[in-house]
Amino acid sequence: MLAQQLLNGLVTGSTYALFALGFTLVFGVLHVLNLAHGAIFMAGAFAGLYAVTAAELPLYLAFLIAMLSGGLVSVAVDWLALRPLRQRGSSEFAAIISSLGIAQVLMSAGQAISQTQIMRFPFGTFPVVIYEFWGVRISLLQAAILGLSLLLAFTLLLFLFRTDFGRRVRAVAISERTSSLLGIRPNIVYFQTFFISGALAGAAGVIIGLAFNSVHFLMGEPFLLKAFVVIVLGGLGSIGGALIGGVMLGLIQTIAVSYLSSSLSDAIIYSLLFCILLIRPTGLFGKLHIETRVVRS
Amino acid sequence: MLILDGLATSYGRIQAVRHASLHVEPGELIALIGPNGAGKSSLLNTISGLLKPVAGSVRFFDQDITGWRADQVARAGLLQVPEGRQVLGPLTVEENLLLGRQALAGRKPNHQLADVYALFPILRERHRQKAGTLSGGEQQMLAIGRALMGGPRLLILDEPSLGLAPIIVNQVFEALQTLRHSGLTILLVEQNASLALASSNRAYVMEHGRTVLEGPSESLRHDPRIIRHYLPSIETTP
Ligand SMILES: Nc1ncnc2c1ncn2[C@@H]1O[C@H](COP(=O)(O)OP(=O)(O)OP(=O)(O)O)[C@@H](O)[C@H]1O
Ligand SMILES: [Mg+2]
Repeated sequence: MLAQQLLNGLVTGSTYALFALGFTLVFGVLHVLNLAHGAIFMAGAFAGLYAVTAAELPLYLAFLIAMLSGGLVSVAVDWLALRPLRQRGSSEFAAIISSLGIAQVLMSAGQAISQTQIMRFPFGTFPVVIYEFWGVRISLLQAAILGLSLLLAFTLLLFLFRTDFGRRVRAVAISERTSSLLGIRPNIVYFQTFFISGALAGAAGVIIGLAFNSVHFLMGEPFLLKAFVVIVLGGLGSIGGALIGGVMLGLIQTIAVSYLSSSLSDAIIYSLLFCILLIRPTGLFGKLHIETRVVRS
Repeated sequence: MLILDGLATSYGRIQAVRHASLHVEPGELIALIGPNGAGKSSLLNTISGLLKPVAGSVRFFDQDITGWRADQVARAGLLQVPEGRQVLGPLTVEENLLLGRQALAGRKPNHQLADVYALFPILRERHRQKAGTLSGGEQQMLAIGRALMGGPRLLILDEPSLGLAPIIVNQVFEALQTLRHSGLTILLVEQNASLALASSNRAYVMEHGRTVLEGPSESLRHDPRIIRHYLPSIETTP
C-alpha cells in the first residue's frame, strides 16, 4: 500500500517538476518570476487538445504542436510584457505585475475559446494499459509521465551544461554586459530561454491534461502555486532542484492525502512551505538571493 | 586600424569623454594613461559599444563601427578585457575560455585552447575550477585568455594591473609582450604610467575626458609634464 502511494506521489511530483522546469529556467536566466507561466501551460494544453480533437492528429504530433505553441506564446509574453520593461531597466517587481496582467489576458482568451468548458482528450488518445509489479500497479500513462519528465529535465541539463548554447545562456544569466563583450547577443539568448521555457510548459500541459483528464482555462493556476513550493524546496533557478522539489512535493502531498486528510492536504503543504521559509528563508537547498543563477543542483 | 575622431560620451548630464582622438596601427602596443576619472574606461566602453557616443566616430579597419552594439564590435574582432576582469565566476575556467570563441563568428581563430594554456600554464592546472575561486592574477590571465579565444584583431585592456601583486603584474605584462611579438595589436589603459610607458611604443595621455598629449612612449617618459604629473612615484612603483 505504501509502495503504491509512493509511486503515485512520484508520478504526481514529476508533473509538478515538469511544470516548474520552465518557470525556474526563466528565473535563473532573467531573475524574473514569470507569473504567466501557468497561462502559457494552459495555452500549450489547449493547442495539444485541439490538435487531437479538431485536427484529429496523432498524439505525438499534438505533443509537438503543444510544445511549439507553448514556446511561441512564451516568446510573445516576453515581447509584449517583459522585454519593454527590461529595456527601460524597470524593477523585477514591475515584471511580476506585467506577467500577471498578460496571464489574465491569456486566461480570458482561453475562457472565450473553450466557452468555460472543461475539455478532455478523447478516450483512447493514450492507450490504457496497466502493469503490475509486486502488487504495485502502474499505468502506461504514469510510466510515460515519469519517463518524459526525466527525459525533458535531463535534456535541458545536457543543453545547459554541455553545449555552446548552454554556456551562452549561463553567461547571460551571470552578466549581460560581460556576455555582450564576448560577442553574445543577450536578446537572442532571452528569446531562446523563453521559447524553451514555454515549450516545456506546453509539454507539461499535454501530459498533465492527459494525467488528470481535464483541460480548462484555469488549469495553470494551481500548478503555478505549486511551482512556488517546488522552487522553495529545490532552490529558485536550480534545474536539479526543480526535479527534487517537484518529487518531494508530490510525495508529501500523496502521503498527506492518504494518511492524514485529503481536504487538508493543501493546508498541510502551504504550512510546510511557511515553516521552511521561517527556518530557511533561502529554501531547503537553494540560495534565494540576488546571486541566484541557473545552476545544476 | 582603429581611428577615433572627436569621440564624446556622457552618462546623462555627466560628460565622461569630451573629445578623444587617437589611432592605432597594426602591430603597435599603445598605452593610454591618465588620472582617476579621466574617462579612460568610458572611452574603452564607447569603443566596445557598451556606451553610445554622443559625438565623433570610431573606425575599425575599413568599417565605421560608431554606435555598434557590444556583441557586434566583439564579433568584428575588437575585443576588450574589461576593468576588474569580469570573469564568469560560477563557470569553470575552461568554460570561460570556450565562451571566448563566441566572438569568432566564422572568423579564423588565432589562438586555440592549447595556446592560451601555453601562455598561462596555471589556467591549464585550474581548468576545471570555478573561475570565481581563482586569485586576482589568475582571473586577469583568464580574462586575457578568454579574449584571445575570440580571435582578436585588436585587443584592448582596461587596467590589467589593478589590485595585483608586483610579481603577478610582471607575469601579465610579460605575456602582453609575448603577444605583441607574435603580431597582436594592443591598446592598453593603465594607471601605472611608468609601467605603461615602459611596455608600449606609443602613448596617449587623457585628462578630463580629452586626449591631451600623444607621442612615442620613450620621449613621453622624459617629458617634464609627464614626469611631474604621472611619474613622481617612480621610486615607489615596483
Ligand atoms: N556608470 C556611471 N554613471 C555615471 N558616471 C560615471 C559612470 N562611470 C563613470 N562615471 C564618471 O565618468 C567619469 C569618467 O570615469 P571613467 O571610469 O571613465 O574614468 P577612468 O579614467 O577609467 O578612471 P579610473 O582610473 O578610476 O578607472 C568620472 O567622472 C566618473 O565619475
Ligand atoms: Mg577606469
